[in-house]
Amino acid sequence: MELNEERFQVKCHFTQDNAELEFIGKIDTPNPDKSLDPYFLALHNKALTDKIHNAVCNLEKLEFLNSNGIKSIVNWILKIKSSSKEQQYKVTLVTNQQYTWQRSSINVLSLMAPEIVIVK
Amino acid sequence: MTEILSSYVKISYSPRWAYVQNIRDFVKNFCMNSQLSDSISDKIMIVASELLENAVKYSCREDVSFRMEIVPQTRSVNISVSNYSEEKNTGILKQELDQVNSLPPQEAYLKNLARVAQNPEVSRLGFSRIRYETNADFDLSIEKDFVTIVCKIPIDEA
Repeated sequence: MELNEERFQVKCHFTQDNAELEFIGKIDTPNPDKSLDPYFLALHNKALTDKIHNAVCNLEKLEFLNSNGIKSIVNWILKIKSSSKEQQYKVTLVTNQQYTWQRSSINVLSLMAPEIVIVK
Repeated sequence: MTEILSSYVKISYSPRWAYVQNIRDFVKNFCMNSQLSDSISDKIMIVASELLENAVKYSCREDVSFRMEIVPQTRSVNISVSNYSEEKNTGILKQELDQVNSLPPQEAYLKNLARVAQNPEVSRLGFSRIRYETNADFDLSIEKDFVTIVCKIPIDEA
């Protein structure tokens, strides 16, 4: 599964137990409802069908994330949280320490749902 | 310790989304050139971006003003953004800021994240994000349809 926008790209590859995502570029879209939201919904539905255990999100090439993008990720996390215990899967966010904004912007997501989100 | 340079910049622009990214990149470079740390420069960039995006979303005229000043004496960066906006939006803006300021920064942000996720029509995460990530203070002035929001960001990291 791939999402190719003008300024960012999300790639997703499903393995037996996991989904491996890579975020590239600058997520500064004004309209996440037309790009990121449907992408995360499709991803979540496939994750439930495939019964994955973990979605590993590589953010090392993510240069910027605006609050619209944060909102989309939060929506996705809350969808996982509202799934039954058997269906829930973890989200591991792999950050890049060189992008200092990621420390606070990404860490807060684990405060929202510590039982689901792990930040590395 | 490197001396932080006193400096300011003013930009007037049309409310177009494409300009937000240009000004955001400029702000980051401006901060770095003024000897602010990478981490603080990133924080200032986030503040500028969120305020500029809000101005673009809610402007009702072709005129947005952005001003940023680095003030070594008070160890702060002050950013102000002015734009014209419809009355219904200025009311919501004031309400949002009052809500954000009524709680500790982390609590306000987490509450807002949960709220916007439950209501896809609402965005306005920006103020609570700014306060949580930078510990900034806000000052809002509304004169009829002219809105100015001033954000004072401390530059000393905890």
